[in-house]
Amino acid sequence: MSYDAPIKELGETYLLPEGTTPHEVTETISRVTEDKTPRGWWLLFLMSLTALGAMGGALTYLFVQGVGVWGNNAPVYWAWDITNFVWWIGIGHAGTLISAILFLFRQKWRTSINRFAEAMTVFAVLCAALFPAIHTGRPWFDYYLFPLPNQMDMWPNFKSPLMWDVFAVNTYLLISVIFWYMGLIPDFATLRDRSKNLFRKRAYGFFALGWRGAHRHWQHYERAYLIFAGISTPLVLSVHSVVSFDFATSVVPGWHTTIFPPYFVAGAVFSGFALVTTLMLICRSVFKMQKIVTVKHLDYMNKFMLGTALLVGYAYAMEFFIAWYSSNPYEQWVFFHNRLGWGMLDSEGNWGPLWWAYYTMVFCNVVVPQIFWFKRARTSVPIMFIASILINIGMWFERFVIIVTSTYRDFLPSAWGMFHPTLIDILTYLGTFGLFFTLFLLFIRWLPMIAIAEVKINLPGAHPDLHAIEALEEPGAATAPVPAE
Amino acid sequence: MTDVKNTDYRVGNDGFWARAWVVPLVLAGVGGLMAALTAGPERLSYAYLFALFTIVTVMLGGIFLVLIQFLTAAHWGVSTRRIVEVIMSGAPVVALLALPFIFGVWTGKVPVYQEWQEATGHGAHHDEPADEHGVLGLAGSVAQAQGHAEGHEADHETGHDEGHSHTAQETTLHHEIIEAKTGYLNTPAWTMRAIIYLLIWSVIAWLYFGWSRRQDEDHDPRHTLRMQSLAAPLLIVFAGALTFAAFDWLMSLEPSWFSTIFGVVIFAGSAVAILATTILIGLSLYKRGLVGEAINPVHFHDLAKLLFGFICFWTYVSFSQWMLIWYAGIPEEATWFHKRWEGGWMFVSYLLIFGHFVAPFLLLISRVQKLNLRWLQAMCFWVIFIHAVDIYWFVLPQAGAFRIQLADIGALLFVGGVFFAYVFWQLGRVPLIPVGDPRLQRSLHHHQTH
Repeated sequence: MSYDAPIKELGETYLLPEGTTPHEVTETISRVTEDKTPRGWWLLFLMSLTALGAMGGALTYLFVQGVGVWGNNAPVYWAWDITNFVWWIGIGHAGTLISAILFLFRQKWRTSINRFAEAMTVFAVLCAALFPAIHTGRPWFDYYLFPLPNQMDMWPNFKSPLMWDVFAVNTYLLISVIFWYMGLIPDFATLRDRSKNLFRKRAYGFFALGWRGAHRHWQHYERAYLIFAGISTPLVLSVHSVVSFDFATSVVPGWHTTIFPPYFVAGAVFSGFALVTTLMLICRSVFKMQKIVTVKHLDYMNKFMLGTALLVGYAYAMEFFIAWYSSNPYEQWVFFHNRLGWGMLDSEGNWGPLWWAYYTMVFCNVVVPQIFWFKRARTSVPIMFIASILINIGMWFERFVIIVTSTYRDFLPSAWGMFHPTLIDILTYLGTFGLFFTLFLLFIRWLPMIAIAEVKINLPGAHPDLHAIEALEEPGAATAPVPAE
Repeated sequence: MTDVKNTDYRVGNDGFWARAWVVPLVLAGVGGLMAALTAGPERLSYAYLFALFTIVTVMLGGIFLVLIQFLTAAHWGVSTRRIVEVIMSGAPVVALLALPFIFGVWTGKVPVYQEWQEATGHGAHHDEPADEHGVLGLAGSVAQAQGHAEGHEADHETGHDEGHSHTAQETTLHHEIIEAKTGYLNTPAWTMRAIIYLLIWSVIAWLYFGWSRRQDEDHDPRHTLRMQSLAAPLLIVFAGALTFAAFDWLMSLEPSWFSTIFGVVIFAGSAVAILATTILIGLSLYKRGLVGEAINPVHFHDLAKLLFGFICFWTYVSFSQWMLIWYAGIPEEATWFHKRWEGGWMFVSYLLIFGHFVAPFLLLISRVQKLNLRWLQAMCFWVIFIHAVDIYWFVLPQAGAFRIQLADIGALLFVGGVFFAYVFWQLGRVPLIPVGDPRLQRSLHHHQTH
């Protein structure tokens, strides 16, 4: 008897519907890359390319004219560029969390979404990495970011968190790409073996690295997976912590607060899950994958969003409480006037004009997810679709609130300056969607968007840990525990 | 293979565990005498707060570990859950132990919070003009803070570039900062909140312990369902109580200092403390054959992995707090760490870096280390010790230079002794694993090793 069988009295059910066969899983997932390209795919692809082209135009204009074409001003030196950077890199957090941390916690439901989320991680980090590269308007000086010997004896400032960002983001990108690729190897082999023409066979065969599904292959694969999960887990935390240092190491009220690192990480996971949900819901219904990404999976993801929403809400509350408790007038000014918009009026007796950004943020990030307390909402596709989009809007506003409302009305009223985005700001941001969706559409068309091999261990009746039991009971096995006397 | 029906998983006549509670009780007596006889009321107050909060964190870790297991419907931890539940159920004992301290604060006999307690007296005739936009509704206290904010030009002129010596102006400003907080930091509110926290923890602990005990008898899965559905809202309540208790009891020792991550740091330490304690008690029961194979090395491995993870998490949040304050170098924040660097405390700070992170990180990272139960046991003893040092480092620098006194050890022996006398006594009364839990069979056959 299997002790993993669902306990009916507790309302447990199998993750995947009973009667699903391994062949069905392979078929459903592989088919997407094998069938004729749907017309809708071409339509979306052209739209994405258009947006990408618009970004090309905006960036060319930026490079010719300089950063003056953006709305950044004094005192809002950092505006949409870093808002977008932080937003995208936050979205890039779900993938590695799902594939690494949830793997270590043995959350088997992750197998239906990890591939998808990892791909999004890679693309989102690419979109994010764009902004540090262009934010000076002079991308030909980007090599300054790296500690390369150069003719001017210029050396990056290692004391700057912006410098740490370069290392943190690049490390994360590198490890995420390798992890993603490694997970793809068995599935590349599946696609290779199903190929009907020589080109496909050769192409997938090349990337499959000679995978034959041998026992030894799997053993190495599992071990590598565990090691990569171990390496990636601290990276999930480090990247956004370092991003938060960009702000928190300063002395700017609203930026400098000690909860920033874990708060940023929680927010990143939150927004990452939201975008995974949005796109997964679309793909799931277009490609008829309801049997692989079940309502139960969506239920778990929504619970995760509720949990991270509460963590983010905790951070908001702490910031407010401590802003008051600190009895630091500048801190209180940022929170009560600039963000809340009331309680502290400026010299003309007006509210902080950007109050609406703060309320949008709180509404989308804290109020909206509360709907997921109800099972009906967690299992309703339309509700979670709308909620996930609102959450990402909210998370964009969170970064906007942190960056702009902390700086636009600072210590000296004579130095205040309202921020207005320009058309170039908007086009650049829209353009990153072009980049993201171009890559994403290529991904779902050419690569298996769900981990075929991994999903199968969740089929009813699969016994993934049989060999672990044998290894334990075998005397002298490497993993056998020391017997206690 | 193990079968639940063949054994009742009770301490029974075991040579050690049947009377184990006597040991901590004796230690409590000795410690109590030691503390009472060797220290004056002020030092004793600090020592008692240190001892009390160390035990509070163990108990809070217990509540967290029980709630999170129900929240996630985890099966791996079912067979070790009873140990955690028993520790958690000591919440009312902690409340009893806290009562003298709370009473002392209330009556002014315990002088650890005197800095803000004195400010309360002055707060009544604070001469700041009343605020005309007092719309925040926090009983006038925010209005007072706003008064400060609007008078910020005055602060700006006088508060900066004055050198290191405390001028009369600086002292006045310091008092004003603390007076502005008296809406929150005042004796009646503090006392009221302390009682509320203890009530919250006691109620959660007794509800969950009670339901779990009832399930031992009736094997009714509905208890599990109820505990699962209540876990999420109760975790929110728990998190709020933990955070504000940390603010009230530890952070307000230095009332001008503040840190938004403070609650998270205390939470991380609590998780470390409960995991190490659970492993130790579990190992003893396992080695004496009281739990058969129901708790097997794989369970210890899982707990050890979580312990390792939370040690890293503690490091992460503690580092965040220190790094950001050090990097920004704002005097009003840096002062707290300054106090933990001067007067001999530097050594303790280093000890925490190496003892609470570097050593356990290197000595628990490998599977071989975690599965060597004797090694794991030694590490858990160390981790509990260093956790106590951590709390010591939060409390005692406020009392002055570093000097361990018999009173510190005595107070810890007293509070810890009474608490664990209860825990050990309770362990002798109940089944050592939750025999009625519907997920128990799955936990007993839990052999996955990664």
